[in-house]
Amino acid sequence: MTESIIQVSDLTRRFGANTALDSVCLSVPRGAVYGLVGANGAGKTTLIKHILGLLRVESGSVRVFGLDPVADPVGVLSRIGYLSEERDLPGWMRVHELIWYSRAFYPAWDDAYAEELRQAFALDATARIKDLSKGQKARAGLLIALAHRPELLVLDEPSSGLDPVVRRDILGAIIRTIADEGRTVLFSSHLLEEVERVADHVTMISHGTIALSAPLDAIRQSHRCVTVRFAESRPQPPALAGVLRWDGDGREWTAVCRGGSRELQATVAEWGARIVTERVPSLDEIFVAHVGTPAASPPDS
Amino acid sequence: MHSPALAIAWEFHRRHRWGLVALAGYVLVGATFKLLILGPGYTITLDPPDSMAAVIIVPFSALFMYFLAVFSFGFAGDFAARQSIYPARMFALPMTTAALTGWPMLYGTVAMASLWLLTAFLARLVGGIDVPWIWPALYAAAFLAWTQVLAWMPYGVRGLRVIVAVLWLATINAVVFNTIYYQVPEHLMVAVLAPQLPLAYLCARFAVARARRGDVPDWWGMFARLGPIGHALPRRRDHLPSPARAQMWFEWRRHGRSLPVWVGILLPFELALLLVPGNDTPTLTFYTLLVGLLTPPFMAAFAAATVRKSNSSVSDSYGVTPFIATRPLTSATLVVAKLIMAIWSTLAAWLLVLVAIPLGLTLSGTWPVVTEWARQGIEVIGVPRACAVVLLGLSGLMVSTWRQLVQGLCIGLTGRDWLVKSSVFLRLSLLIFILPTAHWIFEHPSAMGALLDALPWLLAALVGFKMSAAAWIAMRLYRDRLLRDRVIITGAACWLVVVLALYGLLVWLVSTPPFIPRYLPALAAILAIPLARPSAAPLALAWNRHRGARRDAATESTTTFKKRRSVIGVVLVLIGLPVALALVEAVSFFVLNRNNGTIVSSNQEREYLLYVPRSYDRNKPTPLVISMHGAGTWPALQMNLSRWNRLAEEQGFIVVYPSGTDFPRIWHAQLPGAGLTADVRFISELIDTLEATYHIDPSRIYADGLSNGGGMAFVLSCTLSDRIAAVGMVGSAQFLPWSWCTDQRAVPMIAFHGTADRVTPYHGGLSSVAPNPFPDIPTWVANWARRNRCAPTPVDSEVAPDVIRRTYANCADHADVVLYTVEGGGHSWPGGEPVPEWLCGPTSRSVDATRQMWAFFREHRLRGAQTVAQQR
Repeated sequence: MTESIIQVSDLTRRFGANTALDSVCLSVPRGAVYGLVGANGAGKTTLIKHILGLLRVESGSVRVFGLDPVADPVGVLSRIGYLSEERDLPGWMRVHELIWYSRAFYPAWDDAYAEELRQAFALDATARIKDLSKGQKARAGLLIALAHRPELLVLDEPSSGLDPVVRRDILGAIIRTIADEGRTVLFSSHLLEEVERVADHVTMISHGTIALSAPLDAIRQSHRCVTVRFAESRPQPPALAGVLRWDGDGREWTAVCRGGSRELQATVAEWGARIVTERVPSLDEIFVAHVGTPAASPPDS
Repeated sequence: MHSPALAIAWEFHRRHRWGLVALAGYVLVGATFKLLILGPGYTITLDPPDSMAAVIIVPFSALFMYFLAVFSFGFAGDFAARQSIYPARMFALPMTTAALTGWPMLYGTVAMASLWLLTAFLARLVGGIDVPWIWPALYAAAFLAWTQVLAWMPYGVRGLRVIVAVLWLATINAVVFNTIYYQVPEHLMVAVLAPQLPLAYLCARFAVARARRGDVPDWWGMFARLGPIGHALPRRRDHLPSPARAQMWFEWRRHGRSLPVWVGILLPFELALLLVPGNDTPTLTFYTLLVGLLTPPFMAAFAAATVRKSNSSVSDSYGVTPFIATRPLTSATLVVAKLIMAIWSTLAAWLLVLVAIPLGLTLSGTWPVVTEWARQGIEVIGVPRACAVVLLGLSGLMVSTWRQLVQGLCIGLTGRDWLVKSSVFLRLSLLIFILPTAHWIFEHPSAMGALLDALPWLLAALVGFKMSAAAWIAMRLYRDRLLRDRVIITGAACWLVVVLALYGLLVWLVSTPPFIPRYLPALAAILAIPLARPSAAPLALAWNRHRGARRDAATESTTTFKKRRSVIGVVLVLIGLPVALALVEAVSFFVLNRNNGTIVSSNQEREYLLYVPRSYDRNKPTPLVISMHGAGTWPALQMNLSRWNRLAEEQGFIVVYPSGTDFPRIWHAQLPGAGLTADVRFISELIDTLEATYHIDPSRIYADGLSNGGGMAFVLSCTLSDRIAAVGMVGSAQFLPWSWCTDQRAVPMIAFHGTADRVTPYHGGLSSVAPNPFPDIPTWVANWARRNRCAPTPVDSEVAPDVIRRTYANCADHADVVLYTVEGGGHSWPGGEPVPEWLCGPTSRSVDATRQMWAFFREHRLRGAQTVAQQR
């Protein structure tokens, strides 16, 4: 029975009238790669801030490594490598000073590894951080998050605004981390093709609630993207059980649905239609289906 | 919005409307205050220290600065950066550079001119001051225009803008003040100022055009291109030993150097004043040294602004960035890093001061002035006290510098914008109101007296406030476990030790013997050592770092809870000890020094301290001795100094110590008037009251006094000579001329005076306590002898090696006049309790003034008193 590195129970958080998180439960076991996906403003950063102790729990509980991150910041944060969404490294520091400064906080810091990363990321040791480009700043942040080989790596929107080369570096870092025994990764993103590549568990947050949380394989297996042709043109597709979202117009409609295709075939036949094609949807489509606004009604023909 | 110009105007208005609201509020409050409380007829002159002028000028200046910052976009960015301050986002708007420059300049100059016109209007209406309308408005507008030019110009080096701005604006100020001083006619001022505006506009347009096309010079960058200087930077080989040290390094690099740099920049300019020929007078040297010594605390207030704001690029401007918030450090360690950085910063700045000032003194040759002061100081209070005063002063300034740097932490680290801004606003308004109020208090002695009287209560209130805050903070720190229990206890213990040490030092310095009540140094020591605000800083940071409402803590096991409970008890006891000490001192002082009788005289309640000996017999007529205290002291102190009670017990007479009035407590024996009459009537009515209660022998009522009390004794001898048989005085302070005394009755007098008395000099002259000179004592005593129609030649005899007794005999009615000259005696009661030597000089033990006085009094009775008594 793997222990939970992160255990979030019934976490609720309101900012004024806005409910950012609503009874969110999350349990991240050791060695897992958890992808947290959601639209902008869904609550991903709020959840991550609770895990880091940057937000105090008002309702519910958060335990990281079995400890309360607010009560014991040293015990929790010294085992976490964090790359924040805001690129907030101190601009006045030089890269070598940043490494030298960060080193003092983590007993498990590995100098050789840090140097290897610095050269791999092509960071000039004497450059000031404020003179680095956006991608290089992200790499610097990643360097100090990785160099002490943390038990838990937390990345908040690591790829936002970065070019494909840097994104490849970040994904590679995640892969390297999970190659080591017993290390856990939690990252939030809305670039779902990346999440698909590395995560083995996906949690979808929408408007502060968890819309879906399951292993990636299970998600893939349980969703289907099915194109249906109706006997006659329909302005609106019928609401069928298991269908999350309809797209299309006229006679041909595409559905993202949950469950096996056999049930759907039976239901569809009742409506006088037949299934034309069937495939496994991408995570993007599954996400939009769960979370997005319903497809607009087609114009009256 | 239909035009770009209006859009820009709207942006200014929208962003800063709260400032305008505050201004309107202030004006309203000031006008109401003036109209309702002071009355419409209260006009004032334009002398600089006038309080009402300050009330108008100070907010004007504050708003002036605010408008400067607003219209030059100073709030929008880093004033010290190379790039132009002009917001870069506006360069992408479809407007010409001329329009981008012109509209803000137009709005700014119009706003400044209107501000002046409003102020002038208010000054005329409210204060009755006649100020010119036009040229100051033009001046304000030109000032703003040039500030805009300087702000919007890109520079080659970081920080150059600050230096150029300060120099340029100081120059403009100097020019204008000189023109005021030299009374340049207004049309000339207008002629000079008016073309400034279009000139500034052209320069500003040039600057904005440069900024818009990204033409920012980079002088340091040129050096970088010259060679690989970057690689010559020292690489660190050693490692930082701990997270706390790493954070300290971070804070030092980030904030620690700004104070020493500021001080280092300012000191040479300040000390250069000494080098100007003709400037080595003592007064100027004093002021220059004072300015130099006050530079670190003053600049610390500015440097503190950078310590408070941890990051300006985060969404809520004072928030802790995730980078810092996710350091594996407790909030307490983060705060301690800042506090220690502040210590290093203070020490570095003071090192500069302590090196620069002697250097400046040596270079300008003004050492002799300082050594002269030192010599004078040592002469007055002695070497150990002088050293203690200097060390106390320096360490006080250093601690004050540190306090300035960190006392804002507890507000700034909360990260709540509203808290920070409102605390700044509160401070500013306090400053604006305190100065005129202080000035008004100075002008009204009765208000000053009431304030000084209430001072102990004010101090006590401040102490109560501080200690309750400290107790609450300690409990919160304990409950939230932000500091380890041991750390809280150690902190409280250290604070206690420092407070007690400071108290001991102050008592030794000032209150031995307890001339100044001891609870005052106790309260001062408690207030001086910082406790509440530095302790609140970890709370503030934790509140900022972990955002969210606190729920009640989870249950702990009962044993740890009980053990932990004793911790908070110990802490509260430790910090409460000095308060208890002050309380005990205060209570004991009041108990020991209270008076025990009052009568109403001249519609005033007058107090006195009465001592009736145990051997008092109702059936025997008992002599009465009235002993009057000196200025600024009180009856119980006179009782302790003179030790009359012991003799009264021995010899069987009643002693009463009446109390003067006002604060400081005096007898109005300086000039004839209502005060003097009231005091005389009080003594007379006091005698009546005592005669009614006790069997007083009316022929044996005597009066004596110390210093001001001695002056009052002289007054009584001229006004109550039909009731007072003889008078005595010690170190008397005489102001009234002999011509004032018209009473021809011969009153016997015995006087004691020390030759080393600096307060009332033996040979007369000016002293530090009064503006008018004192008489020469031997001459004065001879005048009394002449009044008593004594033989002109006195007889001198040596009573002790350092005491000479001069007797004038063969006087009318056997009214002898005797003077004891105490060689080397100070302003003290010979044979009585010693007074603080550093204040009043030595107390002689060679003669017992009280005994000698009583021996003298016994020989003299009031002639004709029997008939008066029989008449009653």
